[in-house]
Amino acid sequence: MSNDWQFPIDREIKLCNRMDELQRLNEGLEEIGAEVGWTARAVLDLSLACEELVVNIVNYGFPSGGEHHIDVLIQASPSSVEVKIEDSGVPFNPLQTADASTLLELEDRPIGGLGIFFVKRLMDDIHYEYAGGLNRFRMRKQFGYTHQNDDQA
Amino acid sequence: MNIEATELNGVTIIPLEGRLDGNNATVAEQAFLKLFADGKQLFIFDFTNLQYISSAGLRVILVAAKKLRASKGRMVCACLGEQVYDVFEMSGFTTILEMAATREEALEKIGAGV
Repeated sequence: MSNDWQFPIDREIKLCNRMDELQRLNEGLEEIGAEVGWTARAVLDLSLACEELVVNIVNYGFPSGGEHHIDVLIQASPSSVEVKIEDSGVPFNPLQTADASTLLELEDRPIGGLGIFFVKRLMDDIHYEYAGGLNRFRMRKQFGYTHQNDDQA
Repeated sequence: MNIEATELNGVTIIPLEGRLDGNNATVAEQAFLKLFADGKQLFIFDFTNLQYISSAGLRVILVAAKKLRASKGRMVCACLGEQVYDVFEMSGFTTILEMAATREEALEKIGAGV
């Protein structure tokens, strides 16, 4: 359950299903980060998680082409963020993709497959549902703590 | 992303700037593939001015590494910033690729030190 009062910023970044929209996505996140006081690194991590999900939608969401919208909804506070990403593309649950193996030798490495793995590593409380003709992805992140989930080994 | 590769002691240095993401990964890949097609076999990717990399950017690095492994060439990734290094490490790239903290160390590793 999110408590709305915890999120002074509530913003929508409306994107089209094109790769060059990543620039607007990033600018939007930087703007919110500056307003709410996130570290540069927090913005980069959030940018990475959002990019990977949006790129997936751009690449695979609309196989018959055409211009479509991807809605990125951001609720932000100085210490936390909740992101919702919604699109009307083909139903696809990114959380069902297998994690990329990060231990394979160079020759055996598949090209790709790391994107959703990054999202899982960087964000908390990740949730997907298909409802009302929409792919609805939600993720949260609490800032301001040491990165306890980042095992440096 | 505007990529101006330079040559030093027979090594091709590719400086990456800003963001290597889904929007401009193709530009970087084409730049590498052109140099590779010209017969270049020794590369240093200089990440000094790269603030951000995503999986689309990593893909370019992996394509280059695979091509050079197959052609018996070599490449070193040098001067990675904080976010770029962490993404490399998360992906296990720091163990499968040659890494260097400075451009000088990269040149030495590739056998073109002064």
